[in-house]
Amino acid sequence: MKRIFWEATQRKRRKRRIRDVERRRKKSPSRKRRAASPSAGAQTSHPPDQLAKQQRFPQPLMGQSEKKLIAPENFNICENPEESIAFFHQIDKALAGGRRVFIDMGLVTTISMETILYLLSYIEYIGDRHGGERIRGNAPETEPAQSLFAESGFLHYVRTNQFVTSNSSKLLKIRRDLDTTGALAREVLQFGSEHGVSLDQLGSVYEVVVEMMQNTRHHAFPELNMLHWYLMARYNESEKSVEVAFLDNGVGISQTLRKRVHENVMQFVGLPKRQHALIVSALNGEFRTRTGQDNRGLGLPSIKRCFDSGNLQDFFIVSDKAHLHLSKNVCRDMPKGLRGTLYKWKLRS
Amino acid sequence: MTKSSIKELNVARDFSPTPGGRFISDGPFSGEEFRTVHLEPALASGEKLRITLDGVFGLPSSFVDEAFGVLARKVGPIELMKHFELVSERNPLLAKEVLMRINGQLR
Repeated sequence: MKRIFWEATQRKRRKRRIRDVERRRKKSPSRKRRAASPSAGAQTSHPPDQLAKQQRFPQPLMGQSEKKLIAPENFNICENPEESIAFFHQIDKALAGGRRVFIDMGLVTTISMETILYLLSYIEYIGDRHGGERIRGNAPETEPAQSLFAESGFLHYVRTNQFVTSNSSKLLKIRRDLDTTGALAREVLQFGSEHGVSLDQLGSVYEVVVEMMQNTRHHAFPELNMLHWYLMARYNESEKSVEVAFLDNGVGISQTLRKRVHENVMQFVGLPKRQHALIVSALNGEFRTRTGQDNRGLGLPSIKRCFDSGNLQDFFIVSDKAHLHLSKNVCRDMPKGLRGTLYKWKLRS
Repeated sequence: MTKSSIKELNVARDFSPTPGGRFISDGPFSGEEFRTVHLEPALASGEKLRITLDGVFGLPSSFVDEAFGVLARKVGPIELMKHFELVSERNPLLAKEVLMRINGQLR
């Protein structure tokens, strides 16, 4: 089985490098021109040929300042949140120490869609904040984890030695944007329809996806520095269901909610915030929008209504420390939090 | 009022089958765009509008609130419904939800 390696792209550093090259070129035009940086933009890298890619990544190079971190075997944020989220905190700690990180997923036997989304969003967040190649890694080496990872579209957003050109009909590859686009919600519907999901369920899905995009745009990033939302879907043949995952890498739902006086007092005296309780309150339509406007704060209640109508199964919301499995009515706070908000649900076909 | 004085507006055909978010700045085919381009001119000119909701992939709450809810809060739901007729034959729940949003009953 081919080993797949990837490397986060350098967005800020590449711009600086191009500027430096141009400056040197202007100063001494007689100097031999060096080739420009291999890939343009953080979104994609398409080196000219496979051999060149393989030569660039013959083996993972463990530099002196690089720390290798081994991902959990069950790399699944919804089903195995403590271990999976703790792993990202290990990465945070290594990066905070000024080191580069190599994420070793060689031993991963199960990886979920939302974990792949979160890994991508995390890498882009680090790239935006710290500018530069700080993270690289490999892919799972066992099936079906390797296929899911390789075909998810993740490799389109990083530099890699392996390009996957096949378009699996069982996957709606990673989509990433900031706008609220009904057209993308329609893609999810069409994907569901192709795999036998009923029209009743699909009508709810459209509203749910658009409201999630709205929430990202309006509430996830109160500061001006906005990132993206990410979405992916896949058809699970063994369960005969379509799974959809949506993620934003913002501040988390509880940070964007208006808190009541007693909740602010609890926070002030250092008592735990009970983030899951805040989210449940917002889902139930209690007036929690920080905008203060009566007609706002409709997104979460509308998502909850769709769930209550029975159209969304196995519904998870993971946001900062809150972990809600609505289908099993299990809501709790975790010891370590996710950066952002993740939704995942199934549609029976 | 005669049938000829009623203007027909099919949301999917005349606006978009994929309604988007709340504000124009959120992305294409927003509730704000629908309101300013289609609903407010009809209201201002006093004409009656038959709005067909069939054919849209869905109507997000934020879209409906910005398109219809804003006007309902401005002129009142009763006055608004004198000018608008909602039609949704394939999925009657759609029209019902919009009406509930206009009457301020949905949260």
